[in-house]
Amino acid sequence: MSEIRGRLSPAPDVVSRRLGEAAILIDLETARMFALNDTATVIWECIRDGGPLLEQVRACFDEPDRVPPGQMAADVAKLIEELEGLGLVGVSAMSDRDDMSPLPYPVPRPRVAEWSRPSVVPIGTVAEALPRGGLPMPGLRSSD
Amino acid sequence: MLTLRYSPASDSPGRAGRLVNTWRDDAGQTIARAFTNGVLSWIEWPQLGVFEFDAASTVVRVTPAPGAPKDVIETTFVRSLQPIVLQALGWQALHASAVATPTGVIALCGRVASGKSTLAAALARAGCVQLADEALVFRCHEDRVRVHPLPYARDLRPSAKEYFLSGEPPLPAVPSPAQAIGAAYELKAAFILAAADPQARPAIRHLSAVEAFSVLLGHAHCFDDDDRRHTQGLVESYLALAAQVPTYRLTYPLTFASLPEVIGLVLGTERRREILPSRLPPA
Repeated sequence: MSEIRGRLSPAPDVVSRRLGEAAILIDLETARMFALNDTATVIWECIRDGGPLLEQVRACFDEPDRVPPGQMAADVAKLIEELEGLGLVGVSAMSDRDDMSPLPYPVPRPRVAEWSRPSVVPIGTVAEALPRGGLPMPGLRSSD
Repeated sequence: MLTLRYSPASDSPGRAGRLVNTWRDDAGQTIARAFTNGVLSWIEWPQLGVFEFDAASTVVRVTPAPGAPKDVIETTFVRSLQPIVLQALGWQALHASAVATPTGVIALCGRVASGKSTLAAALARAGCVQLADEALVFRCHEDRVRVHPLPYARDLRPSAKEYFLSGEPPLPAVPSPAQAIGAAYELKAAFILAAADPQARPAIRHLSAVEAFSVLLGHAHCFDDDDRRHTQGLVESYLALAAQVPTYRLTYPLTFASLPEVIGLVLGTERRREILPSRLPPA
């Protein structure tokens, strides 16, 4: 895949978790949070697990051949560009020791029925999500 | 879960630290402030004393303020400070009431005056065991979320007290420590309470796990959101909570007349999940 210039990996400060078909990423460096849609979640997990990216992404979809030729690679490349811009993945130069051959074991991942344009959406910061102005001290607040 | 030990005033020299939290009363006056210097953390409560703790121990040392009554110090520590300190030490604390049902624990989250305490008391009267009134301490263990009941006192509005006093059956007493405190229970569902128009019917909507994460985080006690390690523990726990515990938005009119229907909805939702029974404290 010519659009990807090197070896990809999640940035070390990023916490991620699949929640159903979607996923949340949290950059601990900035405390910014992001939501991935189902397709972006699969791509993220393939980045995290390593190996040949497009091949692995294709393997997660029930009917990958229904995606127009070139669209999958272009969408993946665009998502990577966004993730990189947000500091959520790092792209390092490939070395001779980087093994991009297929993984020697199957990685169990939820199947995805249809390809949709991958998206990463900012959902604010941890501080913004926490109760504004803090919470009352337990046992001392107004009656409820 | 925590032990309180007394220190003489001379053992607690003043120290510099970063202010991480301030608690105020309804009039906006400061009740207490929390600080950390990275190793030690402490809560200054001018009327009661300074409560000091660190990550290596479950002992909290208090240097009492002159004239502070010992019973007030201890009650405040157990009911108010313990959830805060436990959160600082790696547990998590939801701003929630909670009840144990035959199928597991239900958390009732909501803003102040959203009816958490009243609904929890109504569920207790309907046969559940109330485990928390305002702070629910939990920890995530692989694929389960365990709650750790702490001592609490019911804090009902006068109108709610009157409602429960006049109705039948009588409201059960708060469980004794031997009945409910210290055991670990599995959290099976969380309900986010929101007020509806007085004429509206109660309604429940299941939240996606992504929605649940954002909403639950809005009810999280957080000792220090500037500390990266602390924040990591917090978000990882709430991601696990959202992934493992079905979360619902419960919208209902805040009237006593709606309570029977609300109880039916809450318990009915739980029953339909066909979940395994978990421990209930002995009667």
